Amino acid sequence: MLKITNLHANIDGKEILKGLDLEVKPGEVHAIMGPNGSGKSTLANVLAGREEYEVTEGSVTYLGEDLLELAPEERAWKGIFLAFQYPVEIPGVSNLNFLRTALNESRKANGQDELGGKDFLALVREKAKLVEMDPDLMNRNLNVGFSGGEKKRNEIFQMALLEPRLGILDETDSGLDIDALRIVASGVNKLRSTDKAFIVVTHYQRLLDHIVPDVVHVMANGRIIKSGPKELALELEEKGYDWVKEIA
Amino acid sequence: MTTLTQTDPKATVLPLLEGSTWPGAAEALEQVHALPVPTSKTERWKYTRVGRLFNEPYAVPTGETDPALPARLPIDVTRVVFVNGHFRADLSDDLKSQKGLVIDSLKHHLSHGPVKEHYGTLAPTGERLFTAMNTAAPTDGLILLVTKDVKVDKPIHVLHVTTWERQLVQPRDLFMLHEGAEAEVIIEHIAMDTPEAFVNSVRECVVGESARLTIHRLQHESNGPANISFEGVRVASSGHYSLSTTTLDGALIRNEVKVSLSGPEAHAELNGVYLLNGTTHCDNHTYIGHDVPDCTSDELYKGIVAGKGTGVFNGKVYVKQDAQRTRAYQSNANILQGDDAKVYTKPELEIYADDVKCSHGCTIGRLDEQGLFYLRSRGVSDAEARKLMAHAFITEVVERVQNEEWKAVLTALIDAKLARL
Ligand SMILES: Nc1ncnc2c1ncn2[C@@H]1O[C@H](COP(=O)(O)OP(=O)(O)OP(=O)(O)O)[C@@H](O)[C@H]1O
Ligand SMILES: [Mg+2]
Repeated sequence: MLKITNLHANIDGKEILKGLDLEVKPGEVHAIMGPNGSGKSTLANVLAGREEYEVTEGSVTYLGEDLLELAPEERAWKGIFLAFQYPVEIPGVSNLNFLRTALNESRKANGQDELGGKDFLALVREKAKLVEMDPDLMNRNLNVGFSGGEKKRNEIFQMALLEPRLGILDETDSGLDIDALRIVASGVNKLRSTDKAFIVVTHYQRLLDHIVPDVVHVMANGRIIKSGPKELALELEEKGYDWVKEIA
Repeated sequence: MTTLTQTDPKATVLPLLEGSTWPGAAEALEQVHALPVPTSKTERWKYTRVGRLFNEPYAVPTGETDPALPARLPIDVTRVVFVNGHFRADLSDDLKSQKGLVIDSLKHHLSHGPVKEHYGTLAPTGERLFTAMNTAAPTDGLILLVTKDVKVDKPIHVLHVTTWERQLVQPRDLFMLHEGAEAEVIIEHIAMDTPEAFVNSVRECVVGESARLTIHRLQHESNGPANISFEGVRVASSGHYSLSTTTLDGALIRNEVKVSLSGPEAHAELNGVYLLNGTTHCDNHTYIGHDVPDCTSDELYKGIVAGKGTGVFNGKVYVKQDAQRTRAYQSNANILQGDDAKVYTKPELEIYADDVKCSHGCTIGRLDEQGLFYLRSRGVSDAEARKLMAHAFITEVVERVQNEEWKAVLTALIDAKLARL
């Protein structure tokens, strides 16, 4: 589904990703862990198409296509979704209005009929229930004045609504209380299926108790330096990153 | 002719200004002769070039043509139509349906007491060439007189239509609201065919004690050399004056408004939206004088300037020494799109009282890239994302419009323009 080969990326002339390889197959969940500043969010943003990052070397194929050639919205239409580590606040843009535009543009691009107001609201209600999101938040301006946890929950709500093929969660668990963590995890688990995949960036084992990964990767200094089964996460939690850095 | 007049660039308009019998016309004509055409060295006109307006002669406007009028606004209004500046009773609605109220051609009322008392008092000709030109030979305009405690029952829609000729149209309005009176006026300028009219307007507004005057200006001429206007306003104690100016199209637009808050607890609110592209040049010049204590003013102008458009904002708030407990807010925010768009903004506060709350600020920026990326990453196309963000930027100003029906009309016009920016 996704194949990243020798990916190098710069921001402001500074190299952040330094030859990263990763392959994700349909149905899989990959966890990415690693120290602060190792490039995890950079990877997530490059996959979503953030233009500030310049890819200098390597390739990314997604569903057999050159992903790097696509605009961010085209990637979204083909099923890529990034839940941001720091979701932005956009005053003056209503949560629902924007989501309806997003969903309908995506449906149009995929040759489906646009959803009318009533059907859209029904879908919103269903998905909001799934992530136990306060309906008041829907009508507010996008993320404006949302608490940290509410922003993260809104990310998962949007993901549930847009039903991506490849969901990338960048520290969605940070700042969540225990209940919210469970809700977010169950939201992801309900979306899991044989044709969908997830990349979950996290610092904590506890998320992986709920979303059990197929593979755990350790990222350091712009590369994946170790990959292993889910038990690797436990080992990291116990021993820290220095241990992997040494053996890598 | 003397050599002086031959080299005077105003020679193209002077013949049109002679012989008017309007009050103060002769004196104003002398001022026109004396005043130079503003250049970049004229502080008030620093960023707006008007020299080329005098390059070629203009015709005297005629109101006798019958242009196809646009569809009526989808809201209940009293429509008053001016063609090339001339009042057209036949194209206007019944203007006598409400008591205590005069809505009519100003030309018909020049000898009436209230007109004699106020005409010319708020639009001094001594230092403003265009105001002097207008006063020297007004085409015609609207008189709005609302007597004590009368509330005009629906908005008045003043529709100015100009036809294709290269002509000098000089609308001249006088609005007078007596104590406790209320009125709402929508002033719209449109041009038929390929417009060549230079529209030079002057409006004087006398807002009495506890009266409320709300003016919405809508500017969407497709072309034409210029639309220059001066609006002089005086607000008595507890009076309320509100002006919102929406500029969507035009060639050269200059909106100057000068408000004097002359009685305690008078309030002025000035709002503006300008969405400029092509080569449209829009210059908003505002002046609010806090002349007495306890007055408030609030000013918010926001614009998006794209293409080769130019936005100019100059806002001055002047607080006199004894105008204690003044509250005055002013803000101008701009979004620039592309490399050829320009914005010049200059807020000015001059405060001589010590117990005041004043703030002013101006910003020039671009649409937030992080926000755009967020929207696009969810599947909103680049164009649509820009529209959403632009709409969000402007909406704060539109939200200030209290007439919900008019707000809906305005929102639709603004969104249509945003889609073309
Ligand atoms: N605009 C920028 N200019 C320069 N350096 C940047 C810029 N943006 C990010 N970086 C740097 O890139 C490196 C990787 O950042 P990134 O956000 O990808 O790390 P991360 O692995 O997600 O860290 P964390 O665990 O703290 O979220 C950091 O050293 C960061 O300072
Ligand atoms: Mg990060």
